[in-house]
Amino acid sequence: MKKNLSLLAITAVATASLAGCGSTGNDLSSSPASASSSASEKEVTINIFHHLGEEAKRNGLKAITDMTTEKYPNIKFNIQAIDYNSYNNILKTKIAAGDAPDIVFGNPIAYRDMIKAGQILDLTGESFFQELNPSALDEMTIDGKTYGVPLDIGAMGIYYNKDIFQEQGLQIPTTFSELIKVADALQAQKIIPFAHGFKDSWTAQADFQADWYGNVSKFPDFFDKVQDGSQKFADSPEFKASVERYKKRLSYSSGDDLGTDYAKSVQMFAGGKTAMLIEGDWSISEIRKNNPQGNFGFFALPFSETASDNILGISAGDAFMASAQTKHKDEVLKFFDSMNSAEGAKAWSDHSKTISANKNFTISGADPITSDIFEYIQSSRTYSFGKAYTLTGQMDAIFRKFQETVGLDQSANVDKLISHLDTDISRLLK
Amino acid sequence: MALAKHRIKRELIKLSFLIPAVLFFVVIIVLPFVKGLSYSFTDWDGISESRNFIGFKNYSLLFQDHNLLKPLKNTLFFWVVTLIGTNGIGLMMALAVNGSGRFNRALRTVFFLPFVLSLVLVAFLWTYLYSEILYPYFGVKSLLGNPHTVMWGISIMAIWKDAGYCMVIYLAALQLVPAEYYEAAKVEGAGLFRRFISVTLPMIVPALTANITLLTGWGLKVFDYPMTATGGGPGNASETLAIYVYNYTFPYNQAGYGQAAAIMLLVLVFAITAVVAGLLRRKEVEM
Repeated sequence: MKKNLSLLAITAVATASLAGCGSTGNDLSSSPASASSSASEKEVTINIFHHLGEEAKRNGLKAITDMTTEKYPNIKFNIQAIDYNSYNNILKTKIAAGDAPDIVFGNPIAYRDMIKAGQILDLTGESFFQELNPSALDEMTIDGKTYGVPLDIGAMGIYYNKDIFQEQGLQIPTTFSELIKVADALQAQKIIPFAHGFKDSWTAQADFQADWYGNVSKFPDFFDKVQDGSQKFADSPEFKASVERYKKRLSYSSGDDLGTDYAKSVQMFAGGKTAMLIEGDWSISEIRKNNPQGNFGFFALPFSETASDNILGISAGDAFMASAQTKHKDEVLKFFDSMNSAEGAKAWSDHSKTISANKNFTISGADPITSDIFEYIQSSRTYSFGKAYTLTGQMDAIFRKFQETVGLDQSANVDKLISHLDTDISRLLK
Repeated sequence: MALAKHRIKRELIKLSFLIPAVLFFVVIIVLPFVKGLSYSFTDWDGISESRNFIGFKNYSLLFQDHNLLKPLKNTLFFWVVTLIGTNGIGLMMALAVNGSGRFNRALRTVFFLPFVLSLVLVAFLWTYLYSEILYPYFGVKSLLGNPHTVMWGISIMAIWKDAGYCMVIYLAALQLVPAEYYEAAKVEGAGLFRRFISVTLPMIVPALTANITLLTGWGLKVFDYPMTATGGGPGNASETLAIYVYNYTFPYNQAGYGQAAAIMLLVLVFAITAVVAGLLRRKEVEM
């Protein structure tokens, strides 16, 4: 493996020096000059792999690549969108076959196995990182090395319809029992409290994680301990309580919960058929696609009975990494450079309606929903969970399957499933 | 002597025609199988170039895994339900369109149509049907979303697609039953049901053998239907043995363990298919 890596490094350096007219390949400030001076420079196609499901974000990515091509006409892009469910498998197969895409969508924290295998390029010290929000950047850093370039800061929580809340005389709930009171009051008025679209199984996970990630702030090393075997899920009363709250929220049906997909659940909420939707920030653009003018807002999921405990779990959201197999490191860095330029960051946040990871981001002109999220960040009522959730690979898959099984089957025995979860994890630790 | 030599030569020429098929079989089935067998005794992760020999550890872990029960149950359930459903409906359709009129011929095409459709399309069609038609118009919640009904939902989908195939095989057998047999039975006073049991059924046993063996193979190895319709979800409610093998081999990066599971699946499929085919063949010989 080591031998291969050094070979790869040699090849990378060799190609970089060939392509960059003798420049070392890392010095970005000199690259544009050399690019323009040799207009006849060979055309390079950069392959980008991503699983962005939202049209708005795909358009945002397109805008950034177009921007790059405009500045460096020899750089062309081949963007491949892969379904989220098969993304990791296809990516792994491509990497194993030596056919890795140059730019890979994903958060380094979730790809630590690939980083360990030497498949992700170390980007530490690149100049464009200076433009980024330090906490988002921190999440991209593993063992002191920076592997990813974040686009935005994400959060999971509750979207609500301000008009319905006003008509019903309801306030934003600040504790879990207040949330349940709100849901009951809505149901009594024949208004569906939450839009549920659990045909896409990850949507149920968002409901659970919006609750649990806020909790994790009290035990940031929870998942590290799970992995070294010193923490059993069954031994955490907070975990069980979180699962119970999750089941309680899921018990408010919005029709055929398990036969409705994500897109339709967003439509239900955006169309005013339900008062709330528990989802991540990626839904903002989907909501606006269905209802550009709707009077919507966002608040952190109140999981605790103490109002001040209910902070918003945030993390770096969308991010890109570079493959260590790339033969076009210079061009990849140029892409990251335009992504982090003021225009690139603006193009992304305008399309996606997310909070940019660029530190110069301002809220002026942003969507009211985005402003609500930004307010939590500005008033420091947030907890950055990105580094706390450290399960990857099969452990991550087991934990996600647990979330689906325990949530989607209302008759499921919580204690039994939690103990099964512990058994499955401990089998992997052997 | 010369005659014998001539005969050997002729036999050899005949055998030589098998070479392309045997070659394909060896390269595509036998070699990967032998290689897979050796992987199953290692801790290979499916990506690295190195792997360690760990003896029967994968197999002993496999038999201790309580998560294996669900896929095993699902696979057997799918096999039994689709075996009965597909054959039953296929046979009924064959009986219904056995005539030679234009209408019958048109119906045959219609019944066979689902089998020609791409599986992904079928999965899409049925998920659409379950969530966009059955719930809004009939109030029936999607079978695919509920962990308790998801295997029924997938089985119905598979029966709908494959019944046309069984129909064609039954139809071929039905057309070979001489009309005189039915006339003779009629004269003897046999009713419709009696004629089916005593004339039709014994005559189409070869078709029955073919269909049952085929459906057994398909059913026990089922991967595509649950994978396209639910991905094995919700949770692992529709995970089959083949999906279990896939999950370990690819996403979970435990190719050695996945191979061990694959070998066990192969043994299971082989054993059940051999028993089923054996039983049916005996029936064929008896009549």
